[in-house]
Amino acid sequence: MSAVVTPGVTFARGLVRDRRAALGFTLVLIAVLAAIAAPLIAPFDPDTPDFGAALAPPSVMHLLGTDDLGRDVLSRVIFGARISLFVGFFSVAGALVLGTGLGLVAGYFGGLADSIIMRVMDVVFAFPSILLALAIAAVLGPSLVNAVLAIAIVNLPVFARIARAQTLVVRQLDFVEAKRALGFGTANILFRTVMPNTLAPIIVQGSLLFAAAIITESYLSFLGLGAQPPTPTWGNMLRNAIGFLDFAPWLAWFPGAAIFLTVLGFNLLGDALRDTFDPREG
Amino acid sequence: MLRRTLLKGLVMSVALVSLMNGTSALAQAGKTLDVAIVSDPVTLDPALMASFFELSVQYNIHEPLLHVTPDLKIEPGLASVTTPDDKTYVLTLKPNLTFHDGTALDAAAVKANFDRMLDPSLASPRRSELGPIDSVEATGPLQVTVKLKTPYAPFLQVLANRAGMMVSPTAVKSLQADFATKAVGAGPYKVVSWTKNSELVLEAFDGYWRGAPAIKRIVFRPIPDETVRLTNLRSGTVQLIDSVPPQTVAQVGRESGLTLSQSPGLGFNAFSLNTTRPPFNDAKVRKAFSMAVNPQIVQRTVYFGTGAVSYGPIPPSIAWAYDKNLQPPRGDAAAAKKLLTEAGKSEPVPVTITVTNSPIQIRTAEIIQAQANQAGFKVDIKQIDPTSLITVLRQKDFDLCMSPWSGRSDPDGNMYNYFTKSGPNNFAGYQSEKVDELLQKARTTAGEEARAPLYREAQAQIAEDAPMLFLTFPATLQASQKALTWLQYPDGAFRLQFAKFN
Repeated sequence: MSAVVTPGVTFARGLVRDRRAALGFTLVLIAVLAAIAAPLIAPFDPDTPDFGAALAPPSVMHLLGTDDLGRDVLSRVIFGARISLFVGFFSVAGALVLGTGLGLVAGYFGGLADSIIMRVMDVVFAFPSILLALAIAAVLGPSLVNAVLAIAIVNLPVFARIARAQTLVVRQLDFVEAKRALGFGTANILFRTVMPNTLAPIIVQGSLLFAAAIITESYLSFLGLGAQPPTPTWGNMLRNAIGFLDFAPWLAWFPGAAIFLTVLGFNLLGDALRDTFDPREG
Repeated sequence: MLRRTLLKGLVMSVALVSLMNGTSALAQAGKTLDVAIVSDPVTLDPALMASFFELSVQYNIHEPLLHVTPDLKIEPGLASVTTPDDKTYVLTLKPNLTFHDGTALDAAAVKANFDRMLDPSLASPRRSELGPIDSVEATGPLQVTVKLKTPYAPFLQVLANRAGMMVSPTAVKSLQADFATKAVGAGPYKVVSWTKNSELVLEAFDGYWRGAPAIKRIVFRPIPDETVRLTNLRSGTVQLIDSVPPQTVAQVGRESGLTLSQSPGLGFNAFSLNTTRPPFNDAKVRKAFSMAVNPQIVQRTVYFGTGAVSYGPIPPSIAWAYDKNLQPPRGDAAAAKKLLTEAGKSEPVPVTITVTNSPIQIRTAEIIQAQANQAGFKVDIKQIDPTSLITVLRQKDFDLCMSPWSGRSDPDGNMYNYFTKSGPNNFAGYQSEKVDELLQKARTTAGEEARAPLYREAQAQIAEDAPMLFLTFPATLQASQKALTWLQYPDGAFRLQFAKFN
């Protein structure tokens, strides 16, 4: 064993050693690059229709074909990555920050605060997540921001539970007791000492939920509750495709494949992260 | 772990594509006809029907006094009619008619029906359809005389529609509020049971005046998703479907086991422009918007060439009133931009299009959006669910909102409600003395030759003021299994007394 092995180093080594992790990393990287560089790499404007070229099959001109309004499917899939990653990132980040905060408070202070916070989380947790996200999005009205909110709310209890469980363990450890004995303030102890020691499993969970959030966004868009047209999202592209499955199946193939590969990428990455942080495996 | 991850991703993305696979049941054998309709009816009481969704079932349960043929000619139904003068109608019922419950369908029953529809406390939409009725009297055991205050040209067509559907007065009394779900009429089929959003079961009525229908049992199943309806027809779960998606028309027509039935419809697909608030309170802005949109693109891209391009409310299927010369400028972004500048609008004018979340409507909205954006508008699309559409329209909570109309066989039915100042479907808030007078005059004038110019003039004025953006006269597109013979009507309403299995 070498002297200094940080999780980062382990993870980097894992990537090299583990082909699955490398695949996951590559897929995520492709999606991220596509999202960032969308205006540069997309061959056409994703929202501009060309009615004369509607429903053209894949060709040299339109590599993935065109949709019912003559828009380039490749360009729309590329721009769709922005929406999926936007929703994935902000919904998970929001749920992670708020959920972890609630979990920390509940775990550290216990008592009434714990009961109130965790019972509320239990209520949220009691509903099937997709159903709840649907209901929230339907009540708030269809828009991208509301979809993000809905997915974030659904994921809150996951982070709160993990953070609380970790805090219950960490708060009794000697170095926390020591800090308390030295007279450090509660906020200092909570955020400088307890929180960093709870983060590992939360980050792993975050990467897995990122994948789930992309799926949920697709569901919402599929049902018309996500980003509004003409904004391309993989979910609403799929929804639009079902009317043409018989004679223009490419409309469904490519956004479907994009969802599948991106979700696969995040899941593999999450698995690799877990292997890195979890001493019991590997 | 890999396998599980792979599987999860795969299952989830496949599930998205196949959300549409719904019902599965064995193909029904024997004498039952299963029909897939777009949506459940709201009520089965013809006096209270106010939506598109009753259209598919209404003529199977209820029989109007008069009958309209598929080419829109008036024929005797439960009654024959004579018109001694243009304000008097004498209805003579066929002898020995009864309702489903055995109650006699005589002059007294017909009068009771009119009284019920005209009773202000029932708030029946039929009351305004029936027009300027002065009195309804039973002038014989089988004879009813209706007197009007002023001549009312659409009257016979109205009696061949919901307002002419007779229901059993005894059942109305005994069932009270339940009448809306159990409906006792005089049509070819009796209601056996109705499970909301699942199935409406009907059974042949032996006392039907044309004789008992050939098919003994009919089950209507609401299936909102167009693809699922078609899948169910192909699998034989249902034998007849309403509303075939236009993009599949060519393909369904080629399938050997299926028959595609297509006829020009009576209604229109149009958008109301809210004239009561900016930006569309300015006629120039409305006109600019209408100019920017090219309905031919909509007809080709959304309706795949079915139906006809529309510039006004009267479709070519009402041949005597249709104006083929009505062709206001459309699809001209440059001219639209110029008009906007004249109206003093320089920056992009923000407009929200409200549509229901059905694929056809969203596609239409996206085309309008792309074309209007080129002409100096900045268009957003807002999707709502179908049940809130009528509320949005009535509260005028929109800039531009879809307001399609199923259509009537008389042009009055396509215009009066939409364009007179207090018309119940005047969602645009359109106020025009001239159009008001023309439409008033057209419904009180007798003779198609005399009425046609009035409608022509009204349509021209409406095109000038642009309170609505007309896009398409959708064709009535329905499909059935080859084994079924049936008769299609332009309004898309099923009349299954004329259907039989080969």
